[in-house]
Amino acid sequence: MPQIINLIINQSTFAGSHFKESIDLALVCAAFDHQVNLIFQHDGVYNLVNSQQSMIIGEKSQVDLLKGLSFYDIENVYADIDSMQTRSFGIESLLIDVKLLNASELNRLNQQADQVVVL
Amino acid sequence: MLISFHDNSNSLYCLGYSALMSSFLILITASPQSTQAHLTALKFAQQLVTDQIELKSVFFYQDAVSVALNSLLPPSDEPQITERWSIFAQKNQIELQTCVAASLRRGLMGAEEAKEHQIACANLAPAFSMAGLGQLAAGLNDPSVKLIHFK
Repeated sequence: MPQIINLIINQSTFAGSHFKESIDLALVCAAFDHQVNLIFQHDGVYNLVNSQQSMIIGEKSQVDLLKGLSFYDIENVYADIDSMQTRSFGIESLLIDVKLLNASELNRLNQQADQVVVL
Repeated sequence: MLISFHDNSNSLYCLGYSALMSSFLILITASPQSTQAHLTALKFAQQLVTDQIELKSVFFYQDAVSVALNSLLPPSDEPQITERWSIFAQKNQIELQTCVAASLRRGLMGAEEAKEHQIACANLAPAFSMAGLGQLAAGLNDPSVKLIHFK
């Protein structure tokens, strides 16, 4: 029976393979028909910023990975609005469309989930 | 849903629901060298067994997979984490699964993978098995399973 799984990414990009492995887990859970809510919080919101130039350090761009999420049944992508504000960027700086949530909305989202995993 | 536990009275209490009808799946993502996650997870796992609460499996992902190396040699006065997991798993018939993708990325491989990639030595400790992320996702199909994550 599919469950509601909230995956929270709270680390910034290029910290080794962390981001790719977090997304892999989201993709596999979605492939098994779980309802995946992908949430970017704290430093995790940096993964969404459109001014990344990963080729400078020889890393693959994360754009394709993020843009492919909806194709793989991950429709619900959220970002913590407070995390974005304290890091001084707004929704216009993001690579993909996300739903912005404040702390209490995120809290409610986590309360409604069957499993919450913080990566 | 928050899960918290106390072990001062040698028993587990889970806030908000009864643990009696549930089973657990343990996920570990932290390095065995640089965090306490494995020691805490081992303690939790052992308590589940003592309290006769079902533990479906233990899944190692990201940096945690390195615990499955057969070549880890910490000093003898430090916790022998690989050995402790192995003894626990064999005694209680519990599967220790390491994510194959995370393992290969970190140079850990079983005999099959070593042969496929023509690497001289397999280095997976015997008590551990390679698994796909799908096995973790499939494990969550059971609504009575509670996932607990040590990091």
